[in-house]
Amino acid sequence: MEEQQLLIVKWVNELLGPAFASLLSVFGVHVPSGEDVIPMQMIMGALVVLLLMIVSLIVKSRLSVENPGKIQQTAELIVEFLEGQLEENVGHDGHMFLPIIGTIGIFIALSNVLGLIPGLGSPTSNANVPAGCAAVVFLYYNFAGMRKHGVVKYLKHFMGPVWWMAPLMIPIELISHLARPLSLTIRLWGNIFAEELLILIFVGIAPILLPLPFIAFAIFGGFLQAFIFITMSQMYLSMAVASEDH
Amino acid sequence: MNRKIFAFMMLTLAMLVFASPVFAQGGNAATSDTAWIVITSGFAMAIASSVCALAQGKAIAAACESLARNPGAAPAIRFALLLGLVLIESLGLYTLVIIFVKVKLT
Repeated sequence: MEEQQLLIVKWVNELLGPAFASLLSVFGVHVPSGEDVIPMQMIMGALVVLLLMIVSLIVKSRLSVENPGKIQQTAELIVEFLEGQLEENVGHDGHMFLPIIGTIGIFIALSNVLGLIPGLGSPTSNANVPAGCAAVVFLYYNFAGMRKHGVVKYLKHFMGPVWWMAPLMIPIELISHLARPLSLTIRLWGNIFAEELLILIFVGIAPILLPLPFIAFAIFGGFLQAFIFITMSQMYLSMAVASEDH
Repeated sequence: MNRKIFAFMMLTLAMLVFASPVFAQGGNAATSDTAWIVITSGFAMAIASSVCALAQGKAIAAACESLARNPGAAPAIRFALLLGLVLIESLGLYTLVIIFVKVKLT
């Protein structure tokens, strides 16, 4: 099943392709001749970022306390939902994680459903984008744990409850910690890629009618996968910054 | 009851005897390269999906029952149900990802 190039990808590659190729060759990176210089997920990811920036600037310019408009109310709904989730999952100091959890959650939610629009694709359907998000979450929760407890004390958590169990606990803890970004990546990528492939197959069978329930399910599934991603990230954060004094 | 079991066994044996021409094909197939990866991936995906479905069925059954007993706890139950379903789903998805990687279905 060969990959079909989207029209927008073709145009952007024709416009900016040579410039990017010469920029990359400065670093010694050469793109093989069959592939695009700027792959689909980068263009679509940039589109998601651009859309979110435009919406944020619009909301920011029309902020008002007495008379909130529709976009402001929607934004307040999203922020309240995220804060409630952080409060519930991470605890009383969860509010400091709102920027990163909110950014990753909204980015993934929008990227997942972007692919359902004809002519556009999901950045998360390529394995690199979910891997990047999972890597960011992994590095951030370790950083948050080290910031809270101190580097040595945070690393001592890997040794388990008593010191003589350390040779047993350290490999187990390491493997379980490394399994977390792997599972986050594969869950998100597998779901979005499989949804897209399913819709593609059904379009081949019966063009307009048959894919509709699957597209509807993919909208729900995209938001659900983003929600699960941030929920698991919050659980990892809560385990990293857990304080034993309750 | 014993007669029924005996009759069933005889019927199965008869069907197996009638199926013996299948073994005649085995010799020919060995000369060409059997695409083991295709056969294995089919079975692996079927097993993974069916066991995932069983586990999700248990989760949904438990959630429905607890929702019927305690409708006031609906948000908490719904959250736990969705979380559990997605985590179980992701286990079946790991098999699918291995198949994608191996069968090179881009």
